[in-house]
Amino acid sequence: MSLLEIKDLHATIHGKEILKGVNLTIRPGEVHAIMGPNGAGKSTLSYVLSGREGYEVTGGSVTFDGKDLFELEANERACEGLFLAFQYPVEIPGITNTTFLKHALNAKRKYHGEAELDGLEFVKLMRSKSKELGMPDDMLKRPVNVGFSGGEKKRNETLQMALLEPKLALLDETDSGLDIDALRVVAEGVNRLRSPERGVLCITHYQRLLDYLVPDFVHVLAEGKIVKSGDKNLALELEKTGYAEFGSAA
Amino acid sequence: MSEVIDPFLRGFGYSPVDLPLAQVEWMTNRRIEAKNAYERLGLPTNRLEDWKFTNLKKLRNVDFSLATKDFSISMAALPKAVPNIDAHRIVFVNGIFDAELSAIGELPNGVKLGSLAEAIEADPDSFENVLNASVDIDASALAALNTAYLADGLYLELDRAVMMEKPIHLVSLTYTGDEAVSFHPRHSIRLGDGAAATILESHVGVSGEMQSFGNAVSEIQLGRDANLGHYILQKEADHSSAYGLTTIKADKGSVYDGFTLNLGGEIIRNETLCDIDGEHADIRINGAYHADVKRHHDTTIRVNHNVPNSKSLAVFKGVLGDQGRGVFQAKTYVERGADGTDGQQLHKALLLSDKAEINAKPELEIYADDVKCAHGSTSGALDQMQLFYLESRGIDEERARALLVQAFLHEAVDHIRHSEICELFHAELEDKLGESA
Ligand SMILES: Nc1ncnc2c1ncn2[C@@H]1O[C@H](COP(=O)(O)OP(=O)(O)O)[C@@H](O)[C@H]1O
Ligand SMILES: [Mg+2]
Repeated sequence: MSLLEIKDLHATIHGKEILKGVNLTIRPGEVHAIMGPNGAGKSTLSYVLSGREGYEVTGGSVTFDGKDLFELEANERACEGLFLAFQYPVEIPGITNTTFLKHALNAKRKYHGEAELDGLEFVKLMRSKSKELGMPDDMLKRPVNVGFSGGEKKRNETLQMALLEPKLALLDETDSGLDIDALRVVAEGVNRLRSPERGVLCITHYQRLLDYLVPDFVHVLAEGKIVKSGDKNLALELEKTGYAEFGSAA
Repeated sequence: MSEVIDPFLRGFGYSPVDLPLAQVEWMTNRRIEAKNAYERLGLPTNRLEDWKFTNLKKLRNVDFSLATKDFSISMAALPKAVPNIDAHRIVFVNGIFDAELSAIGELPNGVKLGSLAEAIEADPDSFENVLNASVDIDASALAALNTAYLADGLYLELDRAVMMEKPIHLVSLTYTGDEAVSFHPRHSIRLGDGAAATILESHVGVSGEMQSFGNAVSEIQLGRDANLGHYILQKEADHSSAYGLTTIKADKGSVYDGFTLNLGGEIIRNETLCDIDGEHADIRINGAYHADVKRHHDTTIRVNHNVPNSKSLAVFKGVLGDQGRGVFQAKTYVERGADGTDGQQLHKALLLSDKAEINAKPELEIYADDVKCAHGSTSGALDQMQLFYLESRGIDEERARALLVQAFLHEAVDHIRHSEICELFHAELEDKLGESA
């Protein structure tokens, strides 16, 4: 069975059609990359999949792990194992990172009928995960993403992913604004998660992340459609030729 | 003058000879003077500039009884809603000192803490020039009304250089039985040079079916380099309204760290009037409020920088839900020659419903040249992106909203400098909003 099956997906924002018939199948264990010019609809696709308000699905279907994705609320999709690593992680003053992560993890546990973790159990788990990512403890005590550098924010996204252990990780431009060290840490975090049951959909404008996160398939999204698919060599090719042939200057 | 139609004079007829301390001549004279001033001014209406956004009309037709000592309420124990902290506890029920529920404990040398009525009775003359030193009964009807009924409240006096370790916990319980009740407590707080104290003021409603109106005046005098932490937690019942006037006279180098957390009540107005009379004073009048259902929370502040080089800060955050209403009026006044003044005001409101309302009016009035003053006010709804971020991590919408509302208020609570009380106020917020953030 496929993990994610997108069929002829159409979606609009404020009445403007952005996705114009996307088809994509991800099977367990696979890493897919979606590349494409700016404005192609890459972020839109990630938001439509994760359930952000304001995006209207006007046609097609998406099945996630055998379930109709659009029957699920955003939080239910997350609990079912979908994870979006944001292109621009959101700052939330007044909630510490620890509290945020604890609510997230316990929401998922509760959804699956598992006992919620108490403070101590949770902190232990979180510490072990954050250590792997080389995150200092004070980042856990600070309010969510507030005052974090670009690299710290992406590291924080990776930590959330490590804790929530999603079946499918959607990475939206996770590499943008990172230095090489942070890029490596994030890629290692994603690689650690890879398993025969899990999938990754990595959205990126540049090829560099794919050096670390070697994809099984590469797709080009342009003007709301997947216009070309191939293996990792397609990414290398695109790096040289750019996206000009797909109708964009970017 | 024609028959007075007034909820606080009409019901029981004003009779100063029946009030406590009637034997003290200056007291009786002052009460009568104040009663006349109140009659002249009348209960504030929206026609007054200062009261444009807060309407006391609802109180006009209530048949209030005056809380008296005879109207005794025996409560076996403090209600659970009263925070439990290690402190010198002094309890007032409807403004009247309750020795049974109080636990003042051992006081350090140089500290006088107790019932104001008892203190005046013991030494009436020493209070003649203290009470109303900072209150103008011709300018404030409610302060005049408070003076007309002046009887009891907290009396705190710290000698020079005395530092109190434990906080003072002033517990104000509002109890309404079968009758609507009004009371007019007066708190007198004086810190000598270099003295330091912390006051937690808990306002808790015990029973809520009938209306109540608490009309308190607190006079605070800070000597040179004195330090007062003053934290107010308001959890009145839904039918309880309250007005509180706090006056602060701050001498050179004194520090006042104030925070008000308004969570309950019906019509609540906290008014602070601060005169900075010495350089390098550092005054913080901060707070947060959560006006849900039909609550009305009004914060009115005036800080007068009368001398150079002093500092004031007023940061308030409010959440307005349902038909809640918030008012924030703050004026920073900088006197001629008060150069080097640093005066900051900031109000932020979060509106959760179409029927909620906020009126914010921050003002600066500056007559000095070299000052650092700023004011700001924002209001808006919950941030959709923050909401989506939480939901995308598995947190359901209702909980995500509650977390964000709390986060908004927690941020304000972090201004409290006293760490134990800061934690307590965080916990109170969680208690009301039902999430742990
Ligand atoms: N909130 C929005 N309102 C209107 N148009 C939008 C909104 N968000 C994105 N768009 C438009 O949708 C198109 C696709 O955007 P996006 O998905 O962010 O592209 P990408 O991530 O591929 O750069 C762009 O033309 C963009 O201007
Ligand atoms: Mg994008």
